[in-house]
Amino acid sequence: MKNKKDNPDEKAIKRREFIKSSTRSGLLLGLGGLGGLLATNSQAENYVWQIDSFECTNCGRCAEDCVETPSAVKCIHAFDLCGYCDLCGGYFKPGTLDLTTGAEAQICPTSAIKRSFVEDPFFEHTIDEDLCIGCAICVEGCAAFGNGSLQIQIKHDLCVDCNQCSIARVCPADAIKRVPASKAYNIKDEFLKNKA
Amino acid sequence: MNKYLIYTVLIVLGTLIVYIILNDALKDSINKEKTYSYGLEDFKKVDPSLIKYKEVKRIRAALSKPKALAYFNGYLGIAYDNQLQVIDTTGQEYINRAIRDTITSISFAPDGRIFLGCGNQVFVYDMENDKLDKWKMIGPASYITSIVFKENTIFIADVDGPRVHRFNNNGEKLNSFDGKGRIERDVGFVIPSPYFDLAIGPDDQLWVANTGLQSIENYEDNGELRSYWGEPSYKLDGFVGCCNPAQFAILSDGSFVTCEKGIVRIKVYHPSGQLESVVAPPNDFNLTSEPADLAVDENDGIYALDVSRKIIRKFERITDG
Repeated sequence: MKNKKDNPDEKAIKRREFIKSSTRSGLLLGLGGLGGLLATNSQAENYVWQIDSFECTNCGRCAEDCVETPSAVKCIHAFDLCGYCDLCGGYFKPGTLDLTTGAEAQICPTSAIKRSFVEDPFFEHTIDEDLCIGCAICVEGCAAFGNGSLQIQIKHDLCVDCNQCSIARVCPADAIKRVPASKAYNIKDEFLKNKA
Repeated sequence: MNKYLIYTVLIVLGTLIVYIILNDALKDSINKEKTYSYGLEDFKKVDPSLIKYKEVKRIRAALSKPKALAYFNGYLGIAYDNQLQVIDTTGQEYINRAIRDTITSISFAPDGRIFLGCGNQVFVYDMENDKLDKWKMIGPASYITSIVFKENTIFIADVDGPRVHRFNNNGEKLNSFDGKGRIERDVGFVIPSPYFDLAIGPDDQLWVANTGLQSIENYEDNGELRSYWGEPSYKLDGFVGCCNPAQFAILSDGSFVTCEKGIVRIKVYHPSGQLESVVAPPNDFNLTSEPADLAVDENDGIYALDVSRKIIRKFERITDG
């Protein structure tokens, strides 16, 4: 009587089959893993740096500490929030007697805010991004005397997206955070719209 | 000899590393002087001789976001987003009930009923915590910011428009007006933010805060403008910013108590509109806080709802001697 164990050919075939099937399984697993990795990477969201308008203290460091000159931080105007004020706290120097567009009346150090008459008593204030240095003086004035419609944000067409953002590093309020690229701007009026 | 050389190099390297770290830390110091600054500190300075009131009492609000305040006969009504609370002036609670709609204003009628403005609707409660009435919606986009009572009529400030509506006691609308009638800048009510306050003077006159024009205006029942005072100014005697005075109340002699939005300060003006005194300077409030809703009692004590500190503060006039 012959035992299966005694047949060396049969044993060899089993070993070969085992190696073959293991290799096949390994390859399949590897390909599956690679596919999954590629799929995950293709769907993974990119993150960018952005200022949280609710936490920003308008300290002015964004103008000084960005690696870009002028800073990639710019003032943006949320018109939905704006009161279109004649006496705009973000435009006029405190104590200004005449509400005119003279440079001496403006609080912006680079005259980056353009004031235009809409209808009595409403005036529109728009930002010239090329002139804006992101110092947030107007933002501070608007927050103190207006509705807070002027806010600073990192402009992603200007930001070089440093691995460690130099203004995030010095921000005293930790207001600069990584946010999903799909929600790259954090403006107060967006918050109001979402709340509504 | 080599050993000493190695030590020397190590010491130099160590010193260099310490220098770099310290330099970096000093550069990043958050106390670095600001290059760009608005200089808001100047606005917080008030001549101490102008402060003629002192704070005599503080009552802690029950919830975290108090929004509006009213006074009636020893009781204070406090409105939160979705909560109504009535306490006495010692802080003893009488009513605390949830309100389904978001409250936007609170007032007491002369008979003690509580009128809540909830967006575009008015709800009426009594002091026994029973809901008495729900008025018909004023308008789909209406936003009620103030309700006041004059004889048998009720005036409601509505940011939509903006307009002031006059109702009878049954909640039927009699008329409404948009505030036009000035000789100069006849643009009606300009309300850039949801602060649009009303008050009734001791002579039963309706006063309206036209915040976008930084003035307080007096109207007949039919909406005819009788007089107005107030002007935009960065000085203490004027109203600064987009929309002030955000809140006001009237004392028994017809003087106005005002509170401003942005840099919060409470002032008293003569009935003629001249600055009389300061109740609370900006340093008494958190910077750029919500404006304090105001209420006055029978003895001209002033209650102010300090929103950011979540307390009701009572101010009384400092008596001579």
